[in-house]
Amino acid sequence: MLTVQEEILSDEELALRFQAAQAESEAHAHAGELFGRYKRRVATWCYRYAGDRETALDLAQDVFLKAYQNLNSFRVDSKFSTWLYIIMRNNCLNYVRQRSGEPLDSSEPILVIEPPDSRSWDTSAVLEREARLRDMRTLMQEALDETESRVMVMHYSDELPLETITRLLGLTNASGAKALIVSAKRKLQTAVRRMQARQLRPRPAQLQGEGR
Amino acid sequence: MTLEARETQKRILGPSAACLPTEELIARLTRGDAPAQAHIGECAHCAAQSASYRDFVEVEPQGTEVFAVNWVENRTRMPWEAAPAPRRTWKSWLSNSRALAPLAMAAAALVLTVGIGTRAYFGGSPQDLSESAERSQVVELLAPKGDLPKAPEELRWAAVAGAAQYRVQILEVDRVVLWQGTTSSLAVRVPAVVRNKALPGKRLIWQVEALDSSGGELAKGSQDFRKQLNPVR
Repeated sequence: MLTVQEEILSDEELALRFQAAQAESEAHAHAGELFGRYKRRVATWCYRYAGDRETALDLAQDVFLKAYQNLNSFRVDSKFSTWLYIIMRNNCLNYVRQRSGEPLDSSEPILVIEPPDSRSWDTSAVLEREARLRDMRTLMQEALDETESRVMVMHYSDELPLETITRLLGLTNASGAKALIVSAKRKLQTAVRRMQARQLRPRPAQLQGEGR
Repeated sequence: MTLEARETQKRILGPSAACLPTEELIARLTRGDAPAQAHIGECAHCAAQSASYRDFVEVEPQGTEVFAVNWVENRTRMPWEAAPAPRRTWKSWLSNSRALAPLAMAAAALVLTVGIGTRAYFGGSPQDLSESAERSQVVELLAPKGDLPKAPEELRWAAVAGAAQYRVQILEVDRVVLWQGTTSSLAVRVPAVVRNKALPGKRLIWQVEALDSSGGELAKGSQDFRKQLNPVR
């Protein structure tokens, strides 16, 4: 049974007490209090990743099992919520990737500035390629709002299906994440065209020089 | 999209050499580390990771998900707590019983044979079978499933004890409902308008909810199918 004092301990202090516990019952009490604080959050996220409650329950059980098995190696100088989040996220990502045989959006690529042939190992080509990748990263930050940017990262980098992203972000618009991908691609293409036009336009100083 | 284009996209949207592991990034952000703050201002990948963690900490289930989240939360047990006996089919039991000596396996086969014979002779109650379906809280969907040579004409599932009717839905992968209906039988014809939407390679989901006489959900099941790109001839 937990004491009133334990109710106000921080997550990290509870983890420390778990690690120092002499008796199993004592360790379980501390871990129970600690995990109980996150049960609803883990249940919510597992449900959003899975899309059905039976799978969400399996995922949530697995998250707490892994956390329990590794709680002794938790470093108390880091935050418990971050540590548990990473376990939960990796567990759910693995599940989604194993389950999803569907390919990513196979329409036109988001990349509108084609980099030089990436198989080329010529130094200047490599530098040019890296510069263009940097340009694209900058453009993304400038052209897209936070939600569009997140959807792009979750779909193209984390390889999450659009339906999962829609649930994870709680999107309520008609087409969910798909609509945001479409608008993000459109914005990026416009931004790239503007950037290319800027690069082609001669600078004012050059114009003056030519006029003299 | 070519593999190369996909790889380039991953390089634009994935972590770069300047990115920290997510745990380290969040730890630094929590401490108010200025370089980490500056980094998420210019890196979409790390900004997304940071936002997802923030959502995890602040999340509250919304609308229709509240009921399901309550259900999951109430049933989540701590690893040291006694869990209810896992649901295992006889197939998974047999496949995991490698340690059994061949003699024991033969004895088990004999018991099964006698058991099945006895059941067949005295007549097993169909109620027994449907009760086990109710305990599992999952509607067993019989067909269609997986890749199909052509769009399915019929959806079939197993009975659930106590079910007065079944709500059937066909959905796109983004959960947009293409068609739904309610029936008291264990199969429905797929309307032509939906069959026409089952384009080659496009995945569709169908789900069945077993409802009791007051409309409450007893069990639910869903699975997907898709028409093959190149039908087997």
